[in-house]
Amino acid sequence: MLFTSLIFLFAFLPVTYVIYWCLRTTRQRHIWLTITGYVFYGYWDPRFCLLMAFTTLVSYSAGRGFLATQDPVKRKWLLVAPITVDLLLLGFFKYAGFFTRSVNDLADVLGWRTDLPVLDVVLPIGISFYTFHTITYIADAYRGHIKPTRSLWEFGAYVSLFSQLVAGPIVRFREIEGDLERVATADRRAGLTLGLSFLAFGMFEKVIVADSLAYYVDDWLAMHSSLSTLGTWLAMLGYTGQLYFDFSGYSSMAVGLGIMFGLRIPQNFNSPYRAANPSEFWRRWHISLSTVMRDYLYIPLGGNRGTTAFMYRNLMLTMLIGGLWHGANWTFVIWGAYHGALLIGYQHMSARTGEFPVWLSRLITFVLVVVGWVFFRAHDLPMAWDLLAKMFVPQPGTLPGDAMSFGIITVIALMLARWAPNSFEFHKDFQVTPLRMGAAAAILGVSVALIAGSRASPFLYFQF
Amino acid sequence: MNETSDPKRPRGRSTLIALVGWGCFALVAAISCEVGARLDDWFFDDIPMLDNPTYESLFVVDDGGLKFGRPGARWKKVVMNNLGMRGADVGAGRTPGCARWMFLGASETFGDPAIAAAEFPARVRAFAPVGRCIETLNTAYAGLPPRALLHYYEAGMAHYAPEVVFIYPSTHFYLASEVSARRPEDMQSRKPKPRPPATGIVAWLERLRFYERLRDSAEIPVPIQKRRLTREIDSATIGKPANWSFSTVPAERLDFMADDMAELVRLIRASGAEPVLITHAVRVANPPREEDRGDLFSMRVYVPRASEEVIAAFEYAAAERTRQLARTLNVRLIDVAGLLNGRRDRFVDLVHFSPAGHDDVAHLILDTMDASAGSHAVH
Repeated sequence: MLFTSLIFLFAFLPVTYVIYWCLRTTRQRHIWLTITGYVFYGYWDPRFCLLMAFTTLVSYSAGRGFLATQDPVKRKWLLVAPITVDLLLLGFFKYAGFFTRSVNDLADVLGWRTDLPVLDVVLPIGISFYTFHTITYIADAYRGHIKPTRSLWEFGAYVSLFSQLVAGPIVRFREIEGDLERVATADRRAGLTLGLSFLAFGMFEKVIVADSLAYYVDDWLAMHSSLSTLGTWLAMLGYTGQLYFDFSGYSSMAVGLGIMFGLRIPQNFNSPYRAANPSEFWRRWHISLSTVMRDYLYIPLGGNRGTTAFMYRNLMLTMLIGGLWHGANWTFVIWGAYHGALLIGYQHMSARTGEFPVWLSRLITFVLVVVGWVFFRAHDLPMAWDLLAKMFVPQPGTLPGDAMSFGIITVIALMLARWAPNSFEFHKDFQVTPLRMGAAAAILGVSVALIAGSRASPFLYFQF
Repeated sequence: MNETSDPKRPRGRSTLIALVGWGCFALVAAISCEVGARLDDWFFDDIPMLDNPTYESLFVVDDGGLKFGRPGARWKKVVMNNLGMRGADVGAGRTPGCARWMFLGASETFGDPAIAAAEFPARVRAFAPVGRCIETLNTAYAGLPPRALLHYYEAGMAHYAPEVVFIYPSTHFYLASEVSARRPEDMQSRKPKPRPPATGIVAWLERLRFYERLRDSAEIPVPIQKRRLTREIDSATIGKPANWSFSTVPAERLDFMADDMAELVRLIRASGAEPVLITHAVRVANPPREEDRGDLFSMRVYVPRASEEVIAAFEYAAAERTRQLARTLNVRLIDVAGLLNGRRDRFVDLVHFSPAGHDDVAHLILDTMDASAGSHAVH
């Protein structure tokens, strides 16, 4: 089920909301959140629910194990075994086909014959996100950062929470544990208005801005081979805006829905196109993933400790794995490596970047990010090389007839991304005035009209 | 709207204020739904904000009751060009150096209204080899019966001086309950089922574009759809004598089809253009497979005299008859049925092509026309 679907807005959400607030106890609300999470998830394919239930049970059992023992060896096993299970599931469903295809391709190049069967496994939506939820839970329990919950329903509600189930943000248990334990005493009234305001903000980002850009971007990039240099840059700038508003919009909606149910979901985007260097970009883009990668991969690998070369290795490894997390395709691996190289380059030259004016640093960072999105968007490497060649080697070609309207929307979108307040800045005082609610009502109305007109596209991050 | 309760304010008054606040919220949202729908239509589809176009706005009707596309008309995602046809604007006269190919047909040829330039006439133009200019005129619209094509071509389309005219008739029209020797009313567009005019709030609602969008996007569950179809078929067949239903392919209906096509071929030749016949393709196999039953069952609403088996058999027989006709009349033939019949991945329902299906048809047309160039005189 999509947040931007009529069934979600007019059936699932009202029913879930009303029953949730009619229930009185913490346990009842945990059970209801768990059930609704599975209904929300199973709407795509009920079989996927079994996989999520299995992962949930494995991680919950490990958590109970941590409560029961202080023996370091047993705790080590309780850490390794469930994380291995999670990674195996993720590896099988997401990477098995990619791995076998790559081995076959490599063997072809070397003139060997392998013929490994290529598995075309259906990728369960959101598996990358809920797997990270359970892995961070187990790792935090092992480190003693959290006390594992004894309640299966509380844990079930955490893993299957519909607002952040399929496309994040990646909420760590410690970030939401307090709210989950206090659901019975949450303030419904304040949460409703503020949550609706966040939801409307997210709808504006996703349905009005991102989907308007998608209308052009998809068509233009489908005929990328005939585009001129100017056309290719415009298409990629449009995609730059689309990707940001699509994912940021989803995150704002997730925050709003969480607030409506008394749960605070952390900020996931902090106007990343304002970043003045690659490091700052990653502190502003998909913050929940960046911090998870930092805390559970980069730091355990050694982080900044040791020699400079060691730190660069850790940075590159983290970004490569981060790239691969986004999708089983070499384009994502290269995208990760590209950002790893940017971060290393920035670290190496950071002493000198102080000489640049801030506006120039921001412009350079933005252009570098746009170039990186080529790998993120391309279906395969030939498409990526073709786009890059067109962007950097002036070429004649077509500029479709709708270039003017596309250009205007792209400029407006990028200006909004750069200068307009993001959802957390807009709601920084956590106050909801009548004017804001009026604006929220208008945005929700327009968004529903666009959704009913079938112009809303699926969220880009669902595929990850 | 801030609902933090004020301890000094009486409870009843707070509730009233909250209710008024939420009422205003709902009102603003509702107005915005309509404004949003109109803005969206205006920005992306060029439909004027204050107009209320209907499907019928796409057409002008001549004295004989036949519909012709209205130049520049727009309704939902459907756009008519400057000549009242599907596709990009073209000049009324042939562009020097370009071939002008015209396509006659119904909804199968018109293509999915929501997907521009994916229908096979547009794809023919797109797939034409570099340096070869082909102007395609897609004159089809939904519900245009094959018989009406005679008058449609003679009274309207012939004026656009096509070089080649492709005929892709919706053959299932010949399985309708009442088809006999040609009558004047057969020359008219198929009329939609009469519906009592809406009154009161329903009439008002029907003027709202948002309401129209909601209605269009509502997904009726399959069991309800099936029940509705069953009811319609039952009401059409109940009380009819046993011999009313077709137990086999009705030969006289195939004859009617052949006669009409032969007459259309004659008209096209008389106008100085070359007619080309296209065999009508369907998603189902003959005899039908289990997975074909749903499509055939849905079609029975339009042709209740035919069973699912007869519908499939008729379509295959009609394709064969078209091949014979092409040989007899010495007309070029595009055998789409031979290529796509039974290919479920090339259709979205019984008769309408998927984008990949449209591409296949376009390639077949270009290949066949190239392969047979020279064997037929092109006028």
